[in-house]
Amino acid sequence: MSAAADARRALDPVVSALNGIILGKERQIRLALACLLARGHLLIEDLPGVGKTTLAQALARALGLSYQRVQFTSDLLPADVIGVSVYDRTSGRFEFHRGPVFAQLVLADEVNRATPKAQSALLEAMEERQVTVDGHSHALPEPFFVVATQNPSYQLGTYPLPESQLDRFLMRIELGYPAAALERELLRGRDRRELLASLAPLLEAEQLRALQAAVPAVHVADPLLDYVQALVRQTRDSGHFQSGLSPRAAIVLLRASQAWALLHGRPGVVPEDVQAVARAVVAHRLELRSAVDGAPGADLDRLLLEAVPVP
Amino acid sequence: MKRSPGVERLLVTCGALVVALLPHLAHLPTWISAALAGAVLWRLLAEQRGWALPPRSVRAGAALAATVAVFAGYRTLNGLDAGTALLSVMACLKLLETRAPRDHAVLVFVGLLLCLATLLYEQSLARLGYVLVAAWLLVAALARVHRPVEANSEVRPFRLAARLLALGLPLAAILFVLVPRIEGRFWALPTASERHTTGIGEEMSPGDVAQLGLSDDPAFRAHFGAAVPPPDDRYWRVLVLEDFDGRRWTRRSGGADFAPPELLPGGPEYDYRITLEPTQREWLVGLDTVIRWPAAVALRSRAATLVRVEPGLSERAPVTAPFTYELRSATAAALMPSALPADLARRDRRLPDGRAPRARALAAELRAGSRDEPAFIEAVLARFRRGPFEYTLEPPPLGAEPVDEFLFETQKGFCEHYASAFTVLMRAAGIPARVVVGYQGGEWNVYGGYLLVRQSSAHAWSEVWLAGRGWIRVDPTAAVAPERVHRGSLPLSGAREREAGLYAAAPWLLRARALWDATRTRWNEAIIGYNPLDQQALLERLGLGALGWQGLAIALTAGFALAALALGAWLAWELRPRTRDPLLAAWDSAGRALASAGLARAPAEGPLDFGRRIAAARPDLAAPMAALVDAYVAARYLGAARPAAAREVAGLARALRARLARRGR
Repeated sequence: MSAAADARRALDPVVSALNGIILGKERQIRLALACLLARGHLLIEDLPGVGKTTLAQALARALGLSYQRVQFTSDLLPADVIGVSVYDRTSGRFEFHRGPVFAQLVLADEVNRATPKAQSALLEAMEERQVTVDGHSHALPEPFFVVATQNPSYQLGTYPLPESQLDRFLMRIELGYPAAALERELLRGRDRRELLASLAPLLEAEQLRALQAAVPAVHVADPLLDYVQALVRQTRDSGHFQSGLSPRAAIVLLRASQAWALLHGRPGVVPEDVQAVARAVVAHRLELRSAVDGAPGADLDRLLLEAVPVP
Repeated sequence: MKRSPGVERLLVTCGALVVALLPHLAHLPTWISAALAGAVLWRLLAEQRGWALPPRSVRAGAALAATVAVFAGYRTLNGLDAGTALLSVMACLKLLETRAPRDHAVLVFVGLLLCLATLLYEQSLARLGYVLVAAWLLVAALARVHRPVEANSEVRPFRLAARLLALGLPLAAILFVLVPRIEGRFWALPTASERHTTGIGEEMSPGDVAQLGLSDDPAFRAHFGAAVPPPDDRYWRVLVLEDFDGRRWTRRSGGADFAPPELLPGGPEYDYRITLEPTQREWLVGLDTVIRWPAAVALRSRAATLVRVEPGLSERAPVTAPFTYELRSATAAALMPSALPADLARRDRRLPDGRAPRARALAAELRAGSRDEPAFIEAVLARFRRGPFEYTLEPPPLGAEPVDEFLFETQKGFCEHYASAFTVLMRAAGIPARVVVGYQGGEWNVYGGYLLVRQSSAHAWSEVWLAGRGWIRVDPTAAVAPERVHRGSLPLSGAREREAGLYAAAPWLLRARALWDATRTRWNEAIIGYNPLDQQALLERLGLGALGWQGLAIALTAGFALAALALGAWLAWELRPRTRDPLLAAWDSAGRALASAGLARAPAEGPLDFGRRIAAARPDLAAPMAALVDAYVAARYLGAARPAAAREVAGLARALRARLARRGR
């Protein structure tokens, strides 16, 4: 078969390796991978201690990416993220000292604890894929993947990301508590950090770049475009949402669906691919008009995915 | 305060229901209105606060209690009033268990029934407008119920309802014109005893006409073709009162005397058409004196008054809806000129024994001083004219001997007092005399070409019989207050004076009032008054005259059946599965086969998920289903479309159907 089958052959081991470290979260692992393949950035929103950091670290190791972690705190300065120019006495010039953002996988931990100023430094770097200091642009490495984590905003001492900045993240996922049986396994098993250390890179940088390049080439049939458009129209016309999805949101939804299809070794996108990524891609870009009792995610499924027929 | 999502939906339904109920509040007992207001408020609060609705036992008890209460109030559950009351109470109770869309729909239907009942009470143009608004709100509420509960502040249901009503109007018009009309009292649900009557009463004692005089409601309209009688000839006869007990004049009871009386036409003749407002009584009005009348009307020969008759039914045919009839009158016709029947002559000279002694004395005195009867009449009128008689709508109360007191003490009164006193004086002098009550005057409506006569034009006058001349109208009020007769209505009281001032200041208001009245009149004649004869005439003009009402009913039914069939065929054609794509056609055929086996694909279910579900539910189908799904998905979504793909999928779908069929057997 084709590129798609190759992709799956390359990515399946990554998925199973990550599965061995973060138990029972295959769906989230696949979403994170798809996000990376679609060259987007990932926002993980959950309580401390459910494995956000571990997921980011494991991703970096399994994919052979350079890894940096920035702990966002309220006194973090933009320079702490992107770097700073320092006068070098020997050369008599300003030298740029690269900040932690110059890594292929950057974990921005508890991003909503920092001030909006520090947040926007990171978010600009995510968007531009380069950093400009003192008039000089410094390109960020390729691939460049930011995993930001945030605590639910009802916790104290947080600066919630504004909607326009949430839009910079391709997906937002939640990890949630593990199932009881898996939690027991977690308690019995070895320390996660040891496991991480034993994880060897499963992909080469070149391979990953090729996979990213393959995402936009995944076939999109006309009926599927119809489906994506129908979903977008539903968010705009049904009256259930404050405002509909933007054209950009439609593009990234399609891109994420292509990545998901590639991850599953399909040469084309099927409606199920769209449905699989829809909640992660769309939920943080939409606001329900009236909060109905129950989980917001369930509402999204009911009002969007279950309301639009598959063509 | 944050509103619970169901509140708005409930608000729309309750609002529409209340609008539908409002016209009934006037004739519903107070406790029902209170119960309705209470139920609406309580239910809205319950929705907002999330209170539990009353349990079934409470509701059943309340329903029973309400039924008993309505029965106790009306002594029946039948009829318009009791039925409306029961319906209103049950709407309150239904509100207490309204949760699901179905309950809302029931409330909406109750509201529509109440609208119908409203029209049974009154069919005016204004009322129809109100009912249309109510129906619009009700239909909107029904549309709102079928939207998601949280779809708040939408105009869509209201727009949809307006469109539906607009679409229904032509249909309603066709049905109105063509459905065979039934003449008779079938439609006149409220019986006379249930409804209060309006207009002129069966008896006259001082004060009656004054009450009428304050009412500005129209009594009837008279359309004249060419000539219109001058104001001084506009005496509209309704009833003749012959029996007098010293205070009260009453109608001579009983006796169907419909033999044509002796009538000698004289003076100018007028052809006109009268549209009488409902009076709940069978008496009709006609310009004095009627000389030709249609079949639905009869002239009582002795009184020369008109009554409505219905062929085939009993003689009493009360006017419960606007009633139109055509007459010819001659304003100077002679009634019974040659002879007065003996019993009538006796009756119309009779005075109660011992009553009105001073009036009798006065009559004797005046009669003695007069050379003949006309001179005596003139002498009495002259006495009235000389005064100090005064015309007033607020006369002092009269005691045990009203005629004497009026003639000699108070000397203040209005048409009733004068007519009564004059007639008594005539009888005291041995001249047959009687009181005629009716209307006098009328305002000309230039837009409609008719005379509008209001209740405020009610009037009473006298008639005396003179040998060789017959019954002669004498209006003693004209002697005292000629302007009353000339203007054609009672003098103005305070409030009406202000109203008149308003009209004088803004003449367009007067014109607008006339225009509105003309419109209403057209409405009453063309729509409310549309009867079997009109229908037959219309059908003949349309060339359908030969059908008859049975034929019409059959034609209508057949027509509607054909229209429904045509509509159905068109819909079926419009909604046919339009899968030109053979690939989709093959996939859908498999989908339909699975659906009839109880394994329908949800509309939002992708093909892969569908395949997995089928495989889990029916392992025997797993293999053919997987093959079908793979081929279909590859061709449709994966960019592997080949010309042969559709045929391949069709083959796989057939295989799946075959497997299904085998299992089915």
